[in-house]
Amino acid sequence: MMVMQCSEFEIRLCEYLDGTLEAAARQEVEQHATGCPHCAAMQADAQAFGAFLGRVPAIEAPPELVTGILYQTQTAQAKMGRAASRWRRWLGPLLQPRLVMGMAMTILSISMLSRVAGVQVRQLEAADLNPVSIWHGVDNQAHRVWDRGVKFYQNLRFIYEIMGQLRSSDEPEEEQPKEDEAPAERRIEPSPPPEPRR
Amino acid sequence: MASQVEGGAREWEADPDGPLVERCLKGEETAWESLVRLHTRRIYSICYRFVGRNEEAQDLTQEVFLRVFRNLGSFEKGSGCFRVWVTSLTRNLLIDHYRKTKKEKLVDSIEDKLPVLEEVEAAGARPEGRVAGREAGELLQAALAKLSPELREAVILRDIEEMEYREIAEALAVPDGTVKSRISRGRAELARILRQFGVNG
Repeated sequence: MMVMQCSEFEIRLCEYLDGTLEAAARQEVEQHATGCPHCAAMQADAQAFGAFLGRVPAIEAPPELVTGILYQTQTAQAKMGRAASRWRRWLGPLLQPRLVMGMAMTILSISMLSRVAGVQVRQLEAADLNPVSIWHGVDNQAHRVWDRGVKFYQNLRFIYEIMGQLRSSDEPEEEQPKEDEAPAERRIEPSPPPEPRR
Repeated sequence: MASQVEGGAREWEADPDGPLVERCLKGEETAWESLVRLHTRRIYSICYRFVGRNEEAQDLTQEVFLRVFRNLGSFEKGSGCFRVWVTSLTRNLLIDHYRKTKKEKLVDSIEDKLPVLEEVEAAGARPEGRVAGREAGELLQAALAKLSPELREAVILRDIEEMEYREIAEALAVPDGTVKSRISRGRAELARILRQFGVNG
């Protein structure tokens, strides 16, 4: 018969005290206890504790505890519900079918236009998210838009100047603009609405 | 495949709280109330035996149920018994609480000893050293407080909550053998402490 170790005795002791061990295993446990005073003491102590525990009444929860728990979970649920409805209130108007459809069409048309215009969309990189580079980008764009506007205005002014001179001289002779603004001139000329005077 | 599904269903049926949990997940408030009523005493008892103070135990029990309420959706059917899941939640909370309050406990321990010492005298004054009822409960509490948390939780779950070894092993996430050996050592240790208090058998 194999000699039982103390560590195994500790484990088997539980089932021994429960009375769920088979006869052979019981005998092994008892045999170990007779030869090992330490384990025998443990067995006696565990049994004594079991007897003591039999005289300890079960604990009853305070009656107000259930009410407290239910109240707390209800407030938690209400809070969760409030948070959800707040999101709904903010996002609600945006998620109406008409608006969503409109947004989808806008995105679609922008993407189509950009493709036709040959705008290259490249993958966003970490460096692009740098505030400095974002600022540079915005600054650059703003300057370009401003410059374009200034140029457009100057061109327009130039054309009106020429037109004014032509009218004042009343000569049918066509004067070519000095600078290479011919295409812009031609585009503007056919539409005379700014000055309907004939 | 079919047999697997059947097996899962059987396991689910084996959990006595299964139907209630399912109704809770559907949003039935009465089901949640029943679930709370069914488990409050047990959870409070574990908490009280572990921390030894009524107020603290009540707060911890409320926290356990708040966590259960928030995480009920993540408790999967067939992944185990609701009772074991709640016990494991409770146990984790208690261990966190133990670690957090360990420093305070060291300071408080002298004050804590005062009522215990009075009890010891009272128990020692009895001729045969036998105590019962409320007094026995208080002595058990004083003895449990001196036990390491590992042994304490094992003894509480087995001897006070009468859980199966397998369930305790699952709740504590340790092997069966470890659970049993902790229970044996915890019981013996408690008996020795109780003897120091003047309690015999």
